[in-house]
Amino acid sequence: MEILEKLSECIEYGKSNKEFKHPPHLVGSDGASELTAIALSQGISPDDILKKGLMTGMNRIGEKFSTGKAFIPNLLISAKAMYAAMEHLKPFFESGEAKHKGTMLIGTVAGDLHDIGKNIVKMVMEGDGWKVIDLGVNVKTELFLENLNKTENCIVGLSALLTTTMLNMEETVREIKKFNESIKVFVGGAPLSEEFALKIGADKYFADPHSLTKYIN
Amino acid sequence: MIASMNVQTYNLLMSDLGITEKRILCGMGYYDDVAPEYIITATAEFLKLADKNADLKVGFAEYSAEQIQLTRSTVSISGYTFNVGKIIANHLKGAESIIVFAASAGEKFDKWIASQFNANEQLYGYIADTIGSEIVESACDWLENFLVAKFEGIDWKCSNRLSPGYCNWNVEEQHKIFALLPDNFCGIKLNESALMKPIKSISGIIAAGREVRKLDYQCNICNLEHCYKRRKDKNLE
Repeated sequence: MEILEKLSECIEYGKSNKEFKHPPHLVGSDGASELTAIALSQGISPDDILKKGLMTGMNRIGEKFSTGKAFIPNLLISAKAMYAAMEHLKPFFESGEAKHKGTMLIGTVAGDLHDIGKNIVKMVMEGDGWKVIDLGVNVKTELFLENLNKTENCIVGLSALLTTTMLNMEETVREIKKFNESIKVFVGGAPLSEEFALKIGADKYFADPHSLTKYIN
Repeated sequence: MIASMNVQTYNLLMSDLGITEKRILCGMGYYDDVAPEYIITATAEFLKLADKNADLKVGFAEYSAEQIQLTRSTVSISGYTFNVGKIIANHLKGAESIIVFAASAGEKFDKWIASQFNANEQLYGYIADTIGSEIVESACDWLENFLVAKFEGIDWKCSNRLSPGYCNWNVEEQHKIFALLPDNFCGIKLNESALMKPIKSISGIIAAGREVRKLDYQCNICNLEHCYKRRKDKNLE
């Protein structure tokens, strides 16, 4: 469907709405917000809009990002366009007509206040159809466990930017696995590595959000 | 009371640093690639606003030869022993003076960055955050140039600036760095995780001496894969 292709292009280039004067080749055209409203009025299902429009666009920008052809600002404007579209889909998720792929609990570990990386992962995961519960920064193990108690079938994402705070991940991972060994725990952050992730008992390390979505899909 | 007899601090203006829009764009990843026009425009606007929000401070305490002991992987400064590792110890070879320094963009700058994120403008928050990182790096560049000029007269050379958290130097040792500086130096405080507040702050050491040589950062043997110093040698001007 042509409209979904247009929508995915708006997400890829970060065209939130008609008024937004970016990117140059789409100036004056409908943006993600208008196209989503039109698609719904044409009877296209929220699920198709999500999968064939939003996720396709987010995947394209994610692929560019992971291959060094796009950078964090590109991802952020794409995510903004994705949120503009999601506003129209929200009622369908609330009513249960549209379903998330799953739920992710995400947070920056205790002692660390950095949140840009974590926020980017959150946006990309939401664009990929996941419900994300963001616990914020400086998140103690107890808060993860408290939320795991309230949330069924979820995955967990932990972030750290300091070599001191990445050590706090170990305790959080251990307690999560003790709580329920089958919960997948993924980690990310500049000083981390796959070797470190496995050493502390996490399931995997990802250097960028697109690799995460590719892996879990 | 710290043991250094020479402690200096300077208030800098953005105009002292000559930060270009290109430097900020490079800081966001756009080295060879052209950034979208919208991002270039937003960066230019935020660079102007940054000037009103920065309270730039840089300073140092100088420790002399008799206060320094160097081994193959450690350096002791006024009784505090740092396990800097072999890479950094190599940079410090020949030190007759060690300059312990810190720089900060100030608390107001942190609040300005947070206000952008809180307004749910992730892009603007990210641009402000990148500007913060670049201005505090530039303040340290300014300090390096200042020290080179200061020591030139006695024919001493300076090492690169070296900070805990890089080149296998444990970031936890930042606590010792601040023990060698006066309290609340440049308005910086450390938390238990050795995280500096304001966030846009840098601390470290620089060696100076007749036999000191400015070596390249040895990124090929460091395990910090995503470190910004790996990008540093790219031409920013």
